Amino acid sequence: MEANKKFMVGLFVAGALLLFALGLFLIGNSTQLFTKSFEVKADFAKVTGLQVGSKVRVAGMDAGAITVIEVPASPSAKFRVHVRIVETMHPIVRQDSIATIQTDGLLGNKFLDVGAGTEGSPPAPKNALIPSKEPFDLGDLMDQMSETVKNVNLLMAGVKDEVITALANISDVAHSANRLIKTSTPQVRAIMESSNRIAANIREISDGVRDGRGAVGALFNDPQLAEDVKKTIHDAGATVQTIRETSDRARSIITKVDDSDIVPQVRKTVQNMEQITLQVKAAVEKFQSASGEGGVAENLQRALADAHEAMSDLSDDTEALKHNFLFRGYFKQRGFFDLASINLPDYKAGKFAKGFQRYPTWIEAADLFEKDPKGVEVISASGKQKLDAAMAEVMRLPRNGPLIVEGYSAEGEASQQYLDARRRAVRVQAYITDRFHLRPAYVGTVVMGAVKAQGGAQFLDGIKIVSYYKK
Amino acid sequence: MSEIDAKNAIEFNGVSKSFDKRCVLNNLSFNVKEGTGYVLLGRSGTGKSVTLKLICGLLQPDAGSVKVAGVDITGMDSTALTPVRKQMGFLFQSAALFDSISVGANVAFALKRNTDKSSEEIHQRTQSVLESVGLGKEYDKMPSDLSGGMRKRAGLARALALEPSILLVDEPSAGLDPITSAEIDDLLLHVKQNNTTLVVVTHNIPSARVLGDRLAFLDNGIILAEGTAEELEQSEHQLVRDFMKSKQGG
Amino acid sequence: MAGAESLTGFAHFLVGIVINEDPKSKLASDGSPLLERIIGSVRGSIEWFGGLSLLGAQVIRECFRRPFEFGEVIRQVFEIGWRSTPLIILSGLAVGIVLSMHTRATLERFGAAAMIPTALAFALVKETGPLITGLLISGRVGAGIGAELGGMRVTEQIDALESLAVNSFKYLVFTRVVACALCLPLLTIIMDFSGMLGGFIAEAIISGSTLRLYFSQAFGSLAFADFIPATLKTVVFGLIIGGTSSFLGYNATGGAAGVGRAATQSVVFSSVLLILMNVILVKFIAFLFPVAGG
Repeated sequence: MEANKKFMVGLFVAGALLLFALGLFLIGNSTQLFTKSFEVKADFAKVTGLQVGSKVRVAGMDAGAITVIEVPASPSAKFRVHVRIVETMHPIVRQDSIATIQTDGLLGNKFLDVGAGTEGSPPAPKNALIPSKEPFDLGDLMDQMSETVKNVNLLMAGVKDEVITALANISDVAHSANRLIKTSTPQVRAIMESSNRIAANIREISDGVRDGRGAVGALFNDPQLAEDVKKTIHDAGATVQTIRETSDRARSIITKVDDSDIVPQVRKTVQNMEQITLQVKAAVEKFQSASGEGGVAENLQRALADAHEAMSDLSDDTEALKHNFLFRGYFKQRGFFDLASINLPDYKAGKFAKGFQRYPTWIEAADLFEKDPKGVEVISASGKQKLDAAMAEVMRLPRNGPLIVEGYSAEGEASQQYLDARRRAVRVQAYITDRFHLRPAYVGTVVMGAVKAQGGAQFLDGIKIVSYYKK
Repeated sequence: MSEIDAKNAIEFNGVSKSFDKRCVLNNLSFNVKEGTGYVLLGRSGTGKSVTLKLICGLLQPDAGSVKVAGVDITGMDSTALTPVRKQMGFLFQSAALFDSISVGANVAFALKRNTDKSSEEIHQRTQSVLESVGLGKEYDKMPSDLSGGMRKRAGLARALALEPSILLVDEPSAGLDPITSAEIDDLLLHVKQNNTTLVVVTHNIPSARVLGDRLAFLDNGIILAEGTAEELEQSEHQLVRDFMKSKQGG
Repeated sequence: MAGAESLTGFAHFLVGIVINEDPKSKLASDGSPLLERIIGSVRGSIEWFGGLSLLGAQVIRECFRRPFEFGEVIRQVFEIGWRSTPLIILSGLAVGIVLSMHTRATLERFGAAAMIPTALAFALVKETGPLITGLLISGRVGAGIGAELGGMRVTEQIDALESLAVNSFKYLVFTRVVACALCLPLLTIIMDFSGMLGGFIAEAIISGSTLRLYFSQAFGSLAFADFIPATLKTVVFGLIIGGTSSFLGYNATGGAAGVGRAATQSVVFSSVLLILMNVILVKFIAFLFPVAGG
């Protein structure tokens, strides 16, 4: 055989063996077999398919392989996994690096991820036992979920009766509350009406202020004031921030609540709820039973009436504010009628709203009002219909002038007459303002008190709605 | 006869051989004395070539024994036969040259494998053997480049390379013209004169007369007649007498 | 020899894909009842296996006996290994390109185009490489051995070798079987790498991957247990190819037609045996290396 052939054979065999070695090296390299390395250990209750030779990643980088998996001697003991990690990764493998078993992709092979430790922790020495986190297994999650569902089912069965009782209680409470609300509706509505007016007033004022009119507007142009306002706003911001932090903390506390405690707590909460509803029920019953003279209901109604009064006062106050010197210029410019400061003699003399057409509508008090059980005059259902009909006529006119509600009363002494007339006017004003969404600034009241009808001896008893308009 | 004293180079004792139930040799016994020429005659397909292959150990007898140079080779495998075969040369009917190597390499083949000679000595020996058969210039030619006669001579050269004491020759003149055939016979005669035992299978009566000290006529697996050429001419068998009278044979 | 007949029996019985080419076969011509023919086929198959097994045993025995025929083994490694290398490299490149294109088409659908080198490496190293190498070599070398030894048999060259005091079995069969067993793993490695290179070429054209990244990705998820047993199992493929084709060639009969038959049957039987043996080997490797990834 000539030398040439021997050379070819040598080339063939050596070349193929070289490729074989290259293949071995590439495979070995992927498990870092030929690199200087160190070993650490980690304990797991479950290895979930991790095998000897499985990849190890440190902070996501391929860094070695599993060398040994020690099977525990007893069920309560854990698997001890020996991990070979390349020396170059040693600086970031600290004593507090956490080992977790993870899956490469959704369906890939299992590998062990060793997290980078913290700066403060010393590097893990060779053969150190590093902390581990038990693997998250989809199967486990399913198990837990089914367990939870089972618990919830049991709980539901357990608390069903309690819930039914609680619901019955709640229903009772709702009934009671409904009744209560029905009786107090007029007051609440009155309060709401007042609130509406207040809101409208405030809006007008703030509109004016924003436009820089009046003294307050001027004040806002003052740099010092602006600074103060800014500071106040900043403080408000800080407060909001504090609140937010607090709520964040609250949320994190909620998040930290141990899962296992929730189920008993829910049970406890439901029990508490039942107790509370029972208490509420008892309270409502007590409340109802005591709703006779001087009872809780009386107190509540009185409180509502007071609130109404207070609202009315506030309404008046804001009304007054409009006429305050600080804002007067603004309202004058806007062509507002100073409805609050109408003086009776001038009004009677027809000095109010000169150049406007008058459209008066008279409604008798008997048609309009009724006495509630407490003897207070309120607008009756038929009265409301009358008012609605009257207003329907009024609304046809051009809405470019003020609307004045004149209150008349003939009963009692002069002071009683004044108060009744005023109340009547205010009631009607409130009703129509609310019902027809009128701007409160355009609806005024004039307390006429006891006035004799023209050419008659009878005192007028009712209200007159006078609509001023321009054609 | 003087040959009685001489040793038997080859002994067949009751050898039988069959292929697929067809009996080729039936209880065959004969001896060949050292340094003599033994010619096996017979019609085609009478087991002459089989007999040669039995001598060489290429085939094993179904019954009986074969002794070569005093060694019973019956049942021996290829490795055990090696020392016996080193004393034998075989010239095949078709020469059976290794067609992937040159003529010289064919001749040198056995020398390389079976001797401790240096490649220089082997080359010299090969050259001289080739020259002795008249192929001195064909050392590097491939077997396919040679004519039938030259191939036969090359085959002879290969068979003679190890200087065998026994030369087995299968149909030396088959497919050759009479002149070439005579040349081969001359070479074989020359070999015999160097005290080499010749066993020749042939149809060619002139060759048989030249080469054979003793002749045997095979028919139906048995030796019909054995003896010198003259004895066979006087054989009691018509077939043998007819065969001997033909000039060329089958 | 009984080889041809029993061989045909084997073909009828076990594989059924080789048509009966032997004009002397009784099975083809005589009208013997079906049962007898079946029995004959079974018997033939068993005989054939017996012959092949004896040859295998003899090869093993010859491993421990002088001469070791180193020179001839090296010559056969040249013939079988070196001369097959171009074929293997070319086929490997083509197979790699085609596999890469197919895996890309499939994996892209799942958005897993990054898995292509890994998938290709798994396919090539674990199965495609060894099997295709085995089949290619059984085609190229099996036919060669069958024809060469068959030719030597019918022209009496094997007898001539014997007459020259050469153990022809050792010189011809043993050396070829050993060379096949040596060359197959080496050629498989070349096939694996050229396949991967082909895959890389296809990938580089489409996605512009780098050679280093490609090969480290490809081998990254392979384990030694994927690479080494799959490569070494081709030693068995080599034994099958060398043994079967040597057996058929060495025992060829019937002149030129017999040589042709030996060549054809060498390819067919070594391929079929190789594929069947592969099933057993894959299972066996899985049993020995249960950890192997994938």
